[in-house]
Amino acid sequence: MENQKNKMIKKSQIKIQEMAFMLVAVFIFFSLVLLFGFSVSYQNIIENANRINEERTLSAITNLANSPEFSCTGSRDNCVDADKVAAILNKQNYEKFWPYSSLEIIKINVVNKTEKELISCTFANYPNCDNFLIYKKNVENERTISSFVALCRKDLLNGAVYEKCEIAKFIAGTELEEVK
Amino acid sequence: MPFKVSDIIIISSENYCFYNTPEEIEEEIKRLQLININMTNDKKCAGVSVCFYPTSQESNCSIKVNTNSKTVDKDNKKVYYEGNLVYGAIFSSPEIYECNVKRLMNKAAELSMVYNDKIILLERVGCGSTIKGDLTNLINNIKNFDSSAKLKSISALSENIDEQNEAVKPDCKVY
Repeated sequence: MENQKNKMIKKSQIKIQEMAFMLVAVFIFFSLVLLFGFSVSYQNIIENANRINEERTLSAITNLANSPEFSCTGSRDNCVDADKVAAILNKQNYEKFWPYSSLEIIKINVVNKTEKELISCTFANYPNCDNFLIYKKNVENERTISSFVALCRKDLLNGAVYEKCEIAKFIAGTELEEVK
Repeated sequence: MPFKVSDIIIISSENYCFYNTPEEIEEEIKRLQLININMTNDKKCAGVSVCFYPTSQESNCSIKVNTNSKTVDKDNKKVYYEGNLVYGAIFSSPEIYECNVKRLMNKAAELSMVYNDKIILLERVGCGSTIKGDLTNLINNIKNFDSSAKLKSISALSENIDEQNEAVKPDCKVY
């Protein structure tokens, strides 16, 4: 009788142990599922944030040429005043003003030149230069978006002042959040 | 300002009753088809009452606009305006209006510095400009800008700059 009772107690203890292990296993399983769910949704949030940032940069860059800082005399659409851009190169405050990680204008007629051969514009060498690096924040993960504009400046021809326009690329960078 | 500084966006969901509205403001509001602004002389009009002086005789007005002195009285405070800033002065709270006018002035000062440098660059093609000194005066005036009351002096200086810019050859205009 006593022996049978001991056997039953042992069996019950094993059952309780089994149940405890089962509960721990179920807990670990659901924790892993939750962790996986969180990581997937976190990744989606970062991807959505990057997509929204890029879309915002794209919509803003198409309007940037028409902003007072860049617009040509007479406010023509999609026309950038190169004289103003050269003047902005001297100003540090604009780096904090625009929401881009970098802002650059490159003349298109320099396609035969490599990146190293491009002459960077300064207030001193303007207009004998190829690209205007307005600012660059040197962020690690950046994607650039560009838009074509007419880059116009005042020039001389046979002693008369006229407006010389060239095609240029307006390039804006967006800092992307890294998915870790 | 002599040149474009920025665009202003004003959003309001309240209904407004404009009494004795000047013709140019009435035309602009009609053109923009703003349905929550009722230009009327009917005292039963429901909404925030905006009265344009000096000719308006209304006494119970929430907002009083004096088009002669270019002032707006609202919430027992007086703010000053020039040109299209009248809309900001009417629809914004005095604090928000003053803050945004300061922001606009700071932007105008930065743009004035850009135009001052542009004048130097235009000299290489033989374009002279007489506005450099006045642009520097404008920047200095803006540095001391502490309230919309100073808009009047800035406006006078701006008109002077504009006249000089218009007087040069079309190809040599700074803006």
